[in-house]
Amino acid sequence: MGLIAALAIATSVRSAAAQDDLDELLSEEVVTTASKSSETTSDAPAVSTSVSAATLRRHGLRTLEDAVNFASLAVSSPGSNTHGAFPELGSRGVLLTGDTGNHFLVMIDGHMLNEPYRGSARFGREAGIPVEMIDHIEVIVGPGSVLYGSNAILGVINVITKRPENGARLVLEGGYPPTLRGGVGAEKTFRLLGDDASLSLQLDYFLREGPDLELGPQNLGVDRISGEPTRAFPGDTTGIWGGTATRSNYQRVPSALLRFSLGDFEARLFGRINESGSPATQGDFDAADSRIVERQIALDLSQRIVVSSLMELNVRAYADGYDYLERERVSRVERCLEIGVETCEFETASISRWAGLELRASVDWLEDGDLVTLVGVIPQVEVVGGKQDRLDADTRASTQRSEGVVEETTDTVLGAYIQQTWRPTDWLGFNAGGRIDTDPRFDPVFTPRLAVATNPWDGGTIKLIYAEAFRAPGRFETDVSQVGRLARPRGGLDPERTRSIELVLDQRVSRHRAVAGVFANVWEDLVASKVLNAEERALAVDEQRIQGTLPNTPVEELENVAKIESAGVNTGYEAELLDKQLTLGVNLTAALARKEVGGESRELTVAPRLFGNTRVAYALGDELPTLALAGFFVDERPANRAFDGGFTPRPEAPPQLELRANVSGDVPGVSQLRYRLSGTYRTASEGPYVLGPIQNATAVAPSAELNPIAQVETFLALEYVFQGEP
Amino acid sequence: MTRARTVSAVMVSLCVFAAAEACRDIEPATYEQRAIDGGANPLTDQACLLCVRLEESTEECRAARADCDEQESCDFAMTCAIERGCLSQPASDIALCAIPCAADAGILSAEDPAVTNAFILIDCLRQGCQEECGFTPSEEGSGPQ
Repeated sequence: MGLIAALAIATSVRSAAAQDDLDELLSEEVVTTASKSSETTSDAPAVSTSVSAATLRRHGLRTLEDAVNFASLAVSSPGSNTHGAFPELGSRGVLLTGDTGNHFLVMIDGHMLNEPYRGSARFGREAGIPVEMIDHIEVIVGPGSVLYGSNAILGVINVITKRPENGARLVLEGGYPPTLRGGVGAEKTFRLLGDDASLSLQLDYFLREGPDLELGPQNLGVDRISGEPTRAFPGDTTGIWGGTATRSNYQRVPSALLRFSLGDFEARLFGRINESGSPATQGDFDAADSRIVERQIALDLSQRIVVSSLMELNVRAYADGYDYLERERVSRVERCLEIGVETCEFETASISRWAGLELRASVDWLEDGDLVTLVGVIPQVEVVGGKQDRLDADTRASTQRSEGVVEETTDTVLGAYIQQTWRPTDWLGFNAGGRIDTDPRFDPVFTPRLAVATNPWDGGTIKLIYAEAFRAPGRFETDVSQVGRLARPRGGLDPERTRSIELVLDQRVSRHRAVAGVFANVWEDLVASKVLNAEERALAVDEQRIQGTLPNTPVEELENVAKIESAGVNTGYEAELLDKQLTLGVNLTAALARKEVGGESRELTVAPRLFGNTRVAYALGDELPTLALAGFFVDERPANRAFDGGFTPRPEAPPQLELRANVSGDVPGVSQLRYRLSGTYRTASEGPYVLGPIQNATAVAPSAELNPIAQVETFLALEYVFQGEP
Repeated sequence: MTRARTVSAVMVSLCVFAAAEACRDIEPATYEQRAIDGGANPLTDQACLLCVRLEESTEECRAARADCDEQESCDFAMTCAIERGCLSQPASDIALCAIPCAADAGILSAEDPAVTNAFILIDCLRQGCQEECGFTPSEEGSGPQ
């Protein structure tokens, strides 16, 4: 698909007549995400990287998190999955821990996967995207709201699936820590209703059992209600949380992706279920029933209509469903608060359903790609709701009224965008656009982007990009209150906003490409909690934005009170040498970021200031394997509770270097059987998350325990390919 | 274009179908205060009822009640605890029995002054209404340790 797009571009570029130029163009990555049209990475009005299927295979990259860490300019917080949570993504020195991924937009073939209740997205195994169906992954760092609206604030990830061919495959993958993945896929091209049609489908099942984790000991002290040692599990009399967690560290992810095309009509159906144990929550130790279960289904149907040589229309209809259930088992009397109930369960449930229609028109005024107008409108209906319950673990009866209730709410939101590209000469190009989004909860938001690209010398591109982006607050932020603790925001919340300016130099020489950029970002109106004063508390009670307050317990309210300023440089280099036998790449980002809340300025937690990756692969040729080595590095960073946990010493995660060696190729003597053998070593055994029930320092537990990271990881993947007729 | 229109119609139909998929139950849970086992509720007795409602109580209990009434959370929690029959429980279980009431009242900490006021009142009632309600007298008080 990339080759076809590159050819299309090549034919439209007048200066590419010479064979050398064509060869150079063919070697360049083609992306579609930055402007919703095919263009080379150097021309795209954003800093983007494209991670090809070959790179995924060569380096044993199996998830979006892997692709981001080992081959892009973004970064995932390593080891966050052992925190009992999911990987978190950041870019350009900013990572907002606890955001459930709602500052990064994730798409499959342009279909947005972030759900509207929290805006959450997944990047690890739980994302469930079958890696064998991926053609390439485009990763944009920086604002992307101009075409995509909310959530595209730290960046955009677009997974582009392969065009189906003929054949089938069986995939079996196993490794340590104990994981197993089985997959079955099939692809078919055929004629239907007088037109070319294709169908591809893959079913995946991922299973992780373990590894066993050594956690704690954490002294929970005396239960404030019972006056006895706080129970860390049913029947506990010691008050000590910890030991070897053997039952609670698991993950099960069945998923499926279907792609169908008929002429210019395309359909995609994606579904996944993720069931993840929570070994390090604040509930009972090693409770197998403490877990997160989420289900997602996404349907996308699109029809391309070529009206004339000038104009093309694209109609896309989509419908999505997502639900979430988090269950935490707790045996503490002071949290269960119910006589006769030894163990209770806290359940957080939410649903999101959304459907919409995107109507897009593209007008190529000069029929040569030099002056193109793109307009689009996207009406979307969203249905969301959620609640938190406390249940008797044995009887499943509620022991209190639901808290944090968001009644099932239906909203209609609308996005409309326009983008104008203009290339007046061979060496100068403009891309200007803007998008307006409406939502009943706040005033319309306008997000512009202006990019100027010039090619002052052969192979060189200088880009200046100004862009804005926003994130619409979720209903879980605007509508939720909790008894005695959290007041619903007064007058709602405004969208979070960011403004970014960057200068990028992109240089290509033959099959080498180097990128260097400087950027500055300002984030405003970030949602953060603020402690209310006496007057504000009284007002919150009067206005029934909180049910009950306590004289000695602070009441918090979410407000648009935080601000972040960041600036830095990012650089990248990649090359294909020795007739593509040798491939290598390097990415490095250095950034300074400060967060300001209530007049207090400090560095961001979990977010690394320096991170990068490097990779090299060599194909030995013929039937011999490809050898690959990749590295990923993040410097030390404050843990998530570094500034508000009161711990001594201040918890900080050490620098992490992750090295991954991978061997891939065809199994000798077994026709059509491919393999990948991979081994990973991490230098640090701790991550940046304070785990377990001690989230604030106490007299008996003054220091924090950070999440453990498996230092050694291996896997072997076998793929048997049944090749059909071409 | 005819096929495009047909396809579009199919698209919309399928999307509507997909959007209607079944989801988690997010109906808010209803919660009824549970009556605690332990025999007949003495509060059905008129004399007892009048006593705990302070019409026929002692001056000390009236003062304690006034203190509690001044705090919305204490007032709510006490009303709930009395209706729930917590005062009929053994002294050691009164705190646990009243915990859901305290939570409903927004009392989340044992250090909350509302808890102190509530237990002063409970102790007073258990002493002052012992005869009317047949309460077991508390020797060490019923508050949390």
